[in-house]
Amino acid sequence: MEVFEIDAEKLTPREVNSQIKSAADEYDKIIIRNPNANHYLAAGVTEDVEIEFDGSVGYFGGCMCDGPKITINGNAGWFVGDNLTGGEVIVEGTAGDGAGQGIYDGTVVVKESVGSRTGEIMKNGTIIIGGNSGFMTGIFMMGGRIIILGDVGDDVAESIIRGVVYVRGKIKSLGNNAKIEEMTFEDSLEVEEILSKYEFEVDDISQFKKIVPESTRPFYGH
Amino acid sequence: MPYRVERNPDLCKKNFGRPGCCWYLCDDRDEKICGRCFSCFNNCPHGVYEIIQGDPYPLNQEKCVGCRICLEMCPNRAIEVNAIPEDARQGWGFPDIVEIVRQSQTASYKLRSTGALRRIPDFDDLVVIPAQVSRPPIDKYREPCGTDVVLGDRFAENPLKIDTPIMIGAMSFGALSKEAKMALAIGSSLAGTVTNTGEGGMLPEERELADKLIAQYASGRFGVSADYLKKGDAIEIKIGQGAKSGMGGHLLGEKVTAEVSRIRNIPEGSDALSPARHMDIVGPEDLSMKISQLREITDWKVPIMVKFASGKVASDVKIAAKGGADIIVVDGMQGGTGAGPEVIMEHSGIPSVASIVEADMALKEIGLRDQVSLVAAGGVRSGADLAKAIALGADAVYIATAALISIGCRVCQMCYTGTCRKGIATQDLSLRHRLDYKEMGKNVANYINTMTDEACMLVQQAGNTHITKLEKENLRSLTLEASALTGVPMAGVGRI
Ligand SMILES: Cc1cc2nc3c(=O)[nH]c(=O)nc-3n(C[C@H](O)[C@H](O)[C@H](O)COP(=O)(O)O)c2cc1C
Ligand code: SF4
Ligand code: SF4
Repeated sequence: MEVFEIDAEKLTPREVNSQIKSAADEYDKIIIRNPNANHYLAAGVTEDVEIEFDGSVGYFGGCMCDGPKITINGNAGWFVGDNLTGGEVIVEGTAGDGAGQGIYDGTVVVKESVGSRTGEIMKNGTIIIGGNSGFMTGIFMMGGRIIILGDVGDDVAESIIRGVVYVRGKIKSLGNNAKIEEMTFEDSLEVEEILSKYEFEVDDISQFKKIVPESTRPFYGH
Repeated sequence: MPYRVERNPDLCKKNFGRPGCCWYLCDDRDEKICGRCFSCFNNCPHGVYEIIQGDPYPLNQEKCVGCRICLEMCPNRAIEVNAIPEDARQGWGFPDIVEIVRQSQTASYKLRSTGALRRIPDFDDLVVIPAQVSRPPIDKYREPCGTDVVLGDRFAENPLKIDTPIMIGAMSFGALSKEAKMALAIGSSLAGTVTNTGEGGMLPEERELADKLIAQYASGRFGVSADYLKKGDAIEIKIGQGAKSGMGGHLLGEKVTAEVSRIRNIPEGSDALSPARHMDIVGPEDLSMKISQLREITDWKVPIMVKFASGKVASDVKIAAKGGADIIVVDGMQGGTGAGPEVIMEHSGIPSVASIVEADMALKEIGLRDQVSLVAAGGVRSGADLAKAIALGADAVYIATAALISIGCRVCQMCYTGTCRKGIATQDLSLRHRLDYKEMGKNVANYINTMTDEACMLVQQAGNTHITKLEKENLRSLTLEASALTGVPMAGVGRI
């Protein structure tokens, strides 16, 4: 495996990104040392490459990507994995607000807790949060699935029109147009499968609650 | 005072045995003389009634003086004469009454397309003043007039270089048919300018046909991906549009056909709802971060534009300029739309002429006028509008409704129904077949070229050699309102 290393200590995000993009074609893996919580790192990478941040990233880490497998060995700021259309973004620590905002495909995994509005306006794809997720998780969801292993704050799935939120812990309150539905056997299998793929250990899948839209056309009388 | 005369035909004919109007009883009827029996026709001294197919009708209402003789003479009390009350303010016009009745019957607000249609100060309130001896005019027939402009060269490696300052504004695939999008793309290329995806993703055909294409980035992020953004020659962050200021977009699931679903990257038949605001842009700092984020994704290559509905123009423009925008678009209240509530179109936002001046001044105040390009939109129809927009401070304009008219739109205001008879605002294949996109593409280019030429005439007669050289001092206002809104002095010795 060909590995390329970037020391980002003295580089601007623009320089880091241009190095990532020029190395992405040739190398299988890119390691970025000292990312120093800079913003927009690995924005818009569309190659099938492994990218590893050896530290924390700032806002919009791994945004608008399509294909790469990004691992952040630290924490992430707001909007990690924003608008992902393929590939993976895995945060080993915590993340800020709007994790996995607007994703179309691929998987965003945050091993610990995140801020609020996780997965807002997402259309498809998967978001897994190992810890808790704050208020308005899944606001304006238009598809896809969010799996939360911890607790979730107020107004979960506010104004959701498609998609599903699975929560293992406590649900503070549901948002407009959200309702809790029975988990089916297939749902349990699906959740179990995706969680084991990302090495989450869950002994009892039956603890999960499933949140779905009450109506698919809530605003326009259908 | 005018009168409304009504004759109730059922009452009129209810009684055969009455005097006067009795043709039902004639043994030997001669319809030519029936009129003499009809009391209303016979008695009206002002010729209000006429007989049509044997029945009297109060046709010439404008002749009625309100004497009510017909009413009194009618044996069947079939006539009503009512004064139409004075309404000099015209506050209760027919459209108002129709709309109140419609609302009371349907319990729904009015949706339509197009933009503000009431009388507001606009480009027509201004004139360009000619050069004479204090500054000589330039000869339209023998001397050239430059029309090329470069937009967005502040940070972008590849700014937009276009042959005319007329660009085609954002209109999404979904709101428009594929054929309409293709016609606009062809037209923009032929005219050496740029078109815009709108907020519904990018059609491959559009990318293919348009030499230059702006990729719009709106709050719903429909069809947005790294690939989408990288295919754009500029990225336009849509904060708002003039016709629907402060509102998100809504494409009904019925219009999300298989092709629209593929381009927007959402399931077929599903509603596409754009939030009223970008979920990650709720303050000045956020906009600046968004601009930087998009720059990083597109490797600093293309200009980043920010489009606003015109409201608090000065502060919005300053925020965008300080946040790093290369190009700022201000869309006035008369800007068009495919669908929106009428109440917003008519009552929210400020006119384009006012917003251009405010935006230009805001950029000057923060010392960024030379670095940031300003695009004006909303109600631009002609070379004259273009010239005046530039004189007011814009570097270029967007046309949207006008571009649609050049491919056949009749401004029927019904785009939102999806049944456009011209094949423009529809996804229905049988209607789309009516639009010959190649021919219409040429029309778009003809129209843009002619507008550019018209603007040049105004520029040259004002003594300038390049379209961008018109200044506010080349303008005079014909109305107090436009003068007050723009700071352009009144014509003649009128001041303000
Ligand atoms: C059919 C139609 C669809 C439109 N769709 C969009 C859109 O997707 N995004 C946007 O920012 N503006 C949209 N607009 C607004 C135009 O881009 C533009 O700002 C406005 O129409 C300019 O005014 P004009 O029509 O008087 O030229 C649309 C306008 C029309 C007529
Ligand atoms: S009110 Fe008098 S003028 Fe008017 S239609 Fe009747 S008769 Fe004629
Ligand atoms: S003609 Fe078509 S495009 Fe024009 S306003 Fe009517 S529906 Fe809309």
